[in-house]
Amino acid sequence: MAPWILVAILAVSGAVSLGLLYNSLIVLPREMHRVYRETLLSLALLVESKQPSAKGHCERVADLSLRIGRAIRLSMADQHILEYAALMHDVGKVGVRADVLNKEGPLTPEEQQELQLHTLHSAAILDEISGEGLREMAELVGWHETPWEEVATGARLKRLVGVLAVAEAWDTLTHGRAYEAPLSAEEAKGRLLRGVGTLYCEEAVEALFAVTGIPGLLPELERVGGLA
Amino acid sequence: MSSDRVRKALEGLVVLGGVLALGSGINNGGLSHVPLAAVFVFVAALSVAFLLPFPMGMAGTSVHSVDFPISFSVLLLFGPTTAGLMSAATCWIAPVRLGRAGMQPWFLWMLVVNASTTILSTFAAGFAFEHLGGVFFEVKVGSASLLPALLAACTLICVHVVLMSADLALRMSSPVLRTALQTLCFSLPSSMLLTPFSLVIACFYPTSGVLALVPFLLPLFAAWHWMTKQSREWDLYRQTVEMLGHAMHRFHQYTSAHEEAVADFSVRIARKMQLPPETIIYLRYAGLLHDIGKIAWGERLLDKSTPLSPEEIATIRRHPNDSADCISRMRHFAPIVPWVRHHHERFDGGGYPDRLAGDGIPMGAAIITVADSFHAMQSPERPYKRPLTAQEALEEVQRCSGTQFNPQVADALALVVAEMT
Repeated sequence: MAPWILVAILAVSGAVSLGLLYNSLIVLPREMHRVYRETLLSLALLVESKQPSAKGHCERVADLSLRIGRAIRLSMADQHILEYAALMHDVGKVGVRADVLNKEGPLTPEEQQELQLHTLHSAAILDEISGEGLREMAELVGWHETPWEEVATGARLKRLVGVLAVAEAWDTLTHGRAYEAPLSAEEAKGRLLRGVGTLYCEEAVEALFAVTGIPGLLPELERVGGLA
Repeated sequence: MSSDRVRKALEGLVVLGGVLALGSGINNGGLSHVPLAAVFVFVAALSVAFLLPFPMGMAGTSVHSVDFPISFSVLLLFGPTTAGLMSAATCWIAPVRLGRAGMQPWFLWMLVVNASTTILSTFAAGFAFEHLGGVFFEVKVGSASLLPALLAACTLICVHVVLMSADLALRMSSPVLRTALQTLCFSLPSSMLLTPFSLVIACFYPTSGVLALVPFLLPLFAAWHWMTKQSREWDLYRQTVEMLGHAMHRFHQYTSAHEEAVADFSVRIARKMQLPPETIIYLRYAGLLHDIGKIAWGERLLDKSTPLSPEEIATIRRHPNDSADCISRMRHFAPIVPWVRHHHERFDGGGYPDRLAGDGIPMGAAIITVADSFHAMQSPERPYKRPLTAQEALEEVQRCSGTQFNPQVADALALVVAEMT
């Protein structure tokens, strides 16, 4: 039998195999990421509809976190975790009463406490999910309201927590909440700068200003002593 | 009773035939010229070819074995005795790994019948191949052995399918011919598509040895990797959705036990109605998620003991739409969106949101309606009313059959309840 026929057949089957491997290593993860994103987003939007003033918050935070994450060159897997966590960070509001979420005046101490519980609720809901990347998402959500200094997790996750916290804070400051008017970009920037190193991760704040195009960061950071 | 006796006779004959064929083959030296190393290589290849998990997205995984190219190439190379022995030695892998039956006598007997069926069909194919002018170990590209090989493959599939479906049909007391034709429609084309692989192996093995298996094994491994990974990912995704659904429901008094029960009853009703398996799988998710829109409600709406304002009633009436909108954003749940949207329609057209009636209501929605009401009637949390027993709830469903509920579904529920008690 002519050996070149076997070689040709081998080449064809090799090509088919490579195609299948491409599917399993490249196409499938991309597709699954889209599916998860879609699912988490639809749940986030559902919870968000409980609180009209927060409309669009999750999606904006996810978008901003992702942009910051790319700017500080997070790995693809970390970017995905960050995005999932950003979409889900407020999911615990499902366990907070609508009257509290939508109250326009200042909250009573009990109401304040109930509202703050939502981070715990979020973490509890997400805790039920198993699976590699998704476990870390729960941890991320659990930490993101903690001041940056006090976040006690591995260096890699701490970086992600920093990004999520900064993106969340920025969006809340510039879009306001039910009981707080939105700040101008300049004012919001001042707030973040005051918290750099204690409340907020410096790297993330710096990257936030870079991706949102706010100039004049470095001298001010030096002035408040953010850069050692 | 008589069909059972026919089946036992048939199975006995098949096993006897298989043993006789194999025995006479070995007796006539059918194994003598096969090198031992080749046996190991082919058996190993055969066992990987079993159990390829074909992922079907949300609907789960269906497992198929693609051992045909290898076992058929062994036939073309070494003749029916070796091929029959090898297939008989490996054909138990799939049932044992898939079946959760344990090693009960009937299961072992089924394995023996399976093996004998495989041996008989292999011998039939070998007979056809030789009598059409084919020579074992001498298959050539484009030569006269191509047609005999194809016809032999046909014979193998036909004999195998006819024997298996005769057995299956007698077991399930369904018509033999129809079962056989249905199975043939699926397995004949797929095996014909795989035959070229056998021809390549049979053509090149005599000159190139094990290398001839590579063109088949390489894509097989790649496909196996792809499919396994895919079905694992989907399993994980399904789990995630279930967990999220449960966890979020937990924060509302509306407990996830209700969702779980609705999913369970919907699936049971659908089984009684003999709906396709895919529909049944989707129905489970529809049951779990049918009220997901309620998690965005304020607490007053869930507390049913106070009278509601007109706006609040409007919100309640909107919840099937809210749930459906949420689910419609997840592309892979597309089939259940209409079921969720219409799970508060009434058979007589008096429901909401779209006032659909009769057959205009998707069957999935009609099933969830019945399961939802049936379980809610038994709930201890009904204000003003005491919980009903399963029997009373069934009577209530039957009383409203044709007005509120689809009669077909109500009848199926009666079967489900009858089975429970």
